[in-house]
Amino acid sequence: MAKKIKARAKMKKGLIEVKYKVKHPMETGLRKAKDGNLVPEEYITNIKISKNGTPMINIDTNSTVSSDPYLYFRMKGAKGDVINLSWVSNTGEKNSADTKVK
Amino acid sequence: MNRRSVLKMLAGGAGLLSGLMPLTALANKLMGKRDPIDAIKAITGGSQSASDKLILKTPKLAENGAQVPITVDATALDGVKSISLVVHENPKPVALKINFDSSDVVTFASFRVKMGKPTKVTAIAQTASGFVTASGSTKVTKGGC
Repeated sequence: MAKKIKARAKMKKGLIEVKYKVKHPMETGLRKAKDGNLVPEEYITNIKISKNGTPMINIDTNSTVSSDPYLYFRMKGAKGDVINLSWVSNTGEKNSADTKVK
Repeated sequence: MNRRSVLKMLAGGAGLLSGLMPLTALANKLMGKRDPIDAIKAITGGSQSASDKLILKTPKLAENGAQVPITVDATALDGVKSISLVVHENPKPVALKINFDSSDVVTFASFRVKMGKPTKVTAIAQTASGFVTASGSTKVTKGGC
């Protein structure tokens, strides 16, 4: 299953404004599927955001973060900087994406 | 290099390793906490103070408990290292912990969490001089946990 990372990074009032929508089901392990069985836990445990390779933000997430996590941050920087987001899930799945600041 | 120094080195190395291990285990332990008071204690170590400098924005009424927007504004505080959010009534109360690795980042975050039922929400900011909290509460019409 493709788990896309939707990103937008823009300069606004001298700061980079980053918005992320990470496609992920974020299953808590408490929800029941239609057949009555519990859906196994599957959630992102860690999200890292870096700018031009320098770590900026490190987020430990739990299964109670909403599905398709949405994140909003602001940071110092300039046009053309590359913002990278990478995540790891409890199942060991990983994904990352680079976004150029507009 | 004699037998004694080699043994010392080995002991030192073992100590270093065991010192590193709990760091990764700590995050898992925190997320696994079931009791909100316990969880807050685990984050702050038991000493925290409420402050109006930390601004927590939660909706008074959330129609959909699966997507509750939360905003934490810690820009009025100095030297913020991390922000944690505890949703008291959730089976796993700690929703997330945001660590700021660089001073380039504005200590302001917006995200969405799940809520099972009407609940108290507490944001905890770790500053250079201690832990600061802010609380709010949200009513949920349809749970999402």
